Amino acid sequence: MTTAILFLVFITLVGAPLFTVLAAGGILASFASDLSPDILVVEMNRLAASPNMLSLPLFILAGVIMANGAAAERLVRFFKATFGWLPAGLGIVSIGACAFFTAFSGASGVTILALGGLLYPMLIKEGYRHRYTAGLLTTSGSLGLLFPPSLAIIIFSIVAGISIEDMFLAGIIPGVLLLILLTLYSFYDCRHFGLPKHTFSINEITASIKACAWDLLMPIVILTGIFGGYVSVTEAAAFTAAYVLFIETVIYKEMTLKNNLFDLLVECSILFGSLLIILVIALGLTNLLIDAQLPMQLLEFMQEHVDSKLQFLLLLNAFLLIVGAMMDIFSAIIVVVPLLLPLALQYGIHPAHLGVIFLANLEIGYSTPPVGINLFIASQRFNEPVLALFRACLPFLFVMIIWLLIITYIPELSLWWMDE
Amino acid sequence: MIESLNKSLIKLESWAAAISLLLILVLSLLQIIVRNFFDFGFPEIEVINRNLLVICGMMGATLATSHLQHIKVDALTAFMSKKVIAYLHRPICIFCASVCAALCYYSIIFFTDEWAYAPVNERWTLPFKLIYPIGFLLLSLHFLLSCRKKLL
Repeated sequence: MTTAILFLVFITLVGAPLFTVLAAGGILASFASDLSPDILVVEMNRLAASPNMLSLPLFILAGVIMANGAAAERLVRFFKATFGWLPAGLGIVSIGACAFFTAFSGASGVTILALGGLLYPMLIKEGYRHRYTAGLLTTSGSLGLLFPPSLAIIIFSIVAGISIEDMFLAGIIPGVLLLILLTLYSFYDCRHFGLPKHTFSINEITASIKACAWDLLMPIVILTGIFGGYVSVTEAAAFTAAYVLFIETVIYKEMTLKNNLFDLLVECSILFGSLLIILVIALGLTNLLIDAQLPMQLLEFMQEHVDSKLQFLLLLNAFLLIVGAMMDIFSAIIVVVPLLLPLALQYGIHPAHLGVIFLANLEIGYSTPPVGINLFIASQRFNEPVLALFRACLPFLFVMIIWLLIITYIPELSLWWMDE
Repeated sequence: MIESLNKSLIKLESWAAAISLLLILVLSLLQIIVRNFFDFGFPEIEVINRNLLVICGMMGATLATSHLQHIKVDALTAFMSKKVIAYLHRPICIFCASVCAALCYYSIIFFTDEWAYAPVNERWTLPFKLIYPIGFLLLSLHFLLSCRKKLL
């Protein structure tokens, strides 16, 4: 058994698709528990039928349509008109536009590809230091991870078995706090750049709002729909996908149903398929591990060595930072959350707070080697070595670590919506 | 011959995935409209959508295999030369094809059990469950076909 596990670890690290390794692990685990491995397919069938799962392809579809349309340009224009006149205005524009875009498109590197290419020459032309620009755009690729309707939040909720609406609410203040901290850092870092000052123009703001009013309405409609009790999360996802398709094809005419719809549907299916298969197989395997009492054994071990909630949270952050640097966010959620959740509950941590801590750590992990996907995509996009980009990201990562400590040790920031 | 089989499979899977996803979208919107404006709903839509979701996901997964887009934790490959990575490609594909073939076999067992024990009112959904063996068979096939791809 040990040889088989070592082989699976090796083959994972050298690039076998994670779902095949988890499936092989599941087959082995079921044999070890004297069960027939068809239990894995039973679990898959059960989990694929969970009500929130349906929201996943529909939100992905909305993101794919957005990424293929011209939403990026419209949003940049709006944020530039609104914040561009502030000191380090274009830096703040980048932070806002990237956060907005990532929340919808999913933190899969699309933000760096779609917005990075647009903002990078703009920032350099305005006189922003190269290192600041590269660091900002690389870390901004995952900024909107905590805002609804982020895919990471939806997947965390499905895996942890908690309400998506609660997780949406939990992520809002920590997400805004990060934007504020990065904005403050931009004010500080850019004060000596001698950047040109832009004038505040109400006419340009009005024109930019007119140009992207339909995009700006989207989060308002989704949040009002879900939290006003008018639609379920799945219905909101269907509405969002239809809405984005409508504005890109009918209002802005950036694409046509005849020429683009099929490709968009296929692109979305590929993204969704690669997520679904890993999700259902991993959850099937996890249930086998739970049957084998693995989380309980972990809990016993932790209780022997970790005395307080504070100590646990410190360890949790250290562990998750390593996980974030080693695994991509979706695999990390799927593999690690089921093992961590019982431990966190035992130490009195609310699942929604755990979710925020978890996603915050992985947001940082997006820009750290060896597997930080933002680094690789930015390296490709900006034609820079990964290590140089990592160095450029360090000040931003430092700010994010401070943010992580704040949101970890002040749970009220994530749980403000709960009744006393 | 093999190349044309590969292309035909990809075309078929693309259409199956796209149509399933489009149907999910249309049926979900229909449900919103009838529920909010006419105060009723079609319970069958929920069931159909869940089954379409699996079809879309399985077909998407098979397409992800042919596009080499599956999620990986390939932490070691950052330190390996392209030559070593290319050398490992074939054994990895064979491993993946074997695992998917095993899952296909267990899916057949699952399907026959479902067929034998499903309540009468749920029998109409059973053909949808064939997507599991078909999906894993296609995944296995795609991994085998990927063996032929040259990474260098």
